[in-house]
Amino acid sequence: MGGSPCAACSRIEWTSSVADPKAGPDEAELAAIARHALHDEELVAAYAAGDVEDATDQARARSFIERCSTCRDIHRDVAVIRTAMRASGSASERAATISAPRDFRLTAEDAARLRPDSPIARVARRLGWRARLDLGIAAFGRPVGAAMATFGVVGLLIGSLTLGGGPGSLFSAQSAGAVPSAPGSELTGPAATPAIDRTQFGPEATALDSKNPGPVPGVRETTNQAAVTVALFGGSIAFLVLGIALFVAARRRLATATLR
Amino acid sequence: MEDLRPTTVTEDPVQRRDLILLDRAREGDLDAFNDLVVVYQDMLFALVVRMVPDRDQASDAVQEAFFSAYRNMAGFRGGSVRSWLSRIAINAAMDAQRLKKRRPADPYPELEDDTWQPPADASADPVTTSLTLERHRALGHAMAQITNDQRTAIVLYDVEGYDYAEIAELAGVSVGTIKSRIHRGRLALRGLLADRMDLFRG
Repeated sequence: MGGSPCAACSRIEWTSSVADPKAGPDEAELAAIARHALHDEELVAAYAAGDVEDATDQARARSFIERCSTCRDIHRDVAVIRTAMRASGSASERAATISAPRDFRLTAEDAARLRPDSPIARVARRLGWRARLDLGIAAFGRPVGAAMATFGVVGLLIGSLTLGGGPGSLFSAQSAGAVPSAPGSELTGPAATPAIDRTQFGPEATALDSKNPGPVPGVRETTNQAAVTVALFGGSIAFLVLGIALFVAARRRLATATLR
Repeated sequence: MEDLRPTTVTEDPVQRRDLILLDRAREGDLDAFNDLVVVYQDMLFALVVRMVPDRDQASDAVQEAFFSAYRNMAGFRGGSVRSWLSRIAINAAMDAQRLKKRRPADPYPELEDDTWQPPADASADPVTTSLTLERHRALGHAMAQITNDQRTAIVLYDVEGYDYAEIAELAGVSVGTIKSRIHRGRLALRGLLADRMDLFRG
């Protein structure tokens, strides 16, 4: 970028924004274009078709046409186009010379397929229940499926922690011998066995029961914990599988609905 | 015993014939329905091809219209069979347009509607006939380029003679919207025909 800008070397041709009296018609034309830009062409087109009912709008349209040559042209052209359209022949007139490119008669198979069925089926079809079901599943299936799958994964993680890892886990509790002892479990030897063999009946069992009147809290707690873990695992897997299935189904339905 | 149902009471022999055919079709006579198809297929194709300027799509729409008519024969409540079929065909054409809107990849081809010749006056000279033909061709090409909604409204109003309320009902929009579509459509046609307006002004 050397040298100073000068009028001789500048590539820009400067023009004056002041109106040149010699360029009068151009200025007038520009002014007319600028004026027309403010005019409502649709109103003029409606007026040309005789569709303007409001007296104020009629007066506006008339003034546009009287004062603006472009509006006048629009008025004339629209009227001409309308006339040409009307002369272009209605379907009945055209049918005399146009022939359909194929035969549209129904075959017996078409008729069997289309035969009106039960009123309920007709209403269902009219409502488009299949399309609605597809769109419903597509709309809600993906977020619900994703949420269900997430719940499933979280459930599995919690279940794994309960089963294996953390301080409250089932295995850690068992391995640490943290199962609280029942009062009757202090018995050693053969006499200790019946304390947890609660399948026995009869006088012996009754006697044992009388020694241990309540349930065995430690064992029951462990059993409950295991049951909860199993339930958690089962539920989580079910959620995960259902969620993924719903998600996939929703995607497929959406694709079908889009193609339809 | 004389059949006094309103669908069969008419003075117009064409309508009378149509209603008889429709009654027989409703009783399960497929040939009677196909007779109606033969009578109206050209007219419905001529109507639909103005709204859907693609001959294949227009044919599909007409076929769909006849399927729909057959399926809903029981819903016919009297009046003109021709109008009933026309309305079904217009709906089918609108469905075809919606389908097209969803798949805009393939624009409409320029309609080569050379099969139709405008009704020539016996006294018209060849120049006038040629001019009229050229005018219709230019108009047809411009019509293929405006929006579906505008084209439908203009064809139904200007060409087929439906009134605003009927078109609004068919399109499921307000009368004001239909008027606006027609006026904007005419303005769009004017823009497209700008360099050929002499054909029309002359």
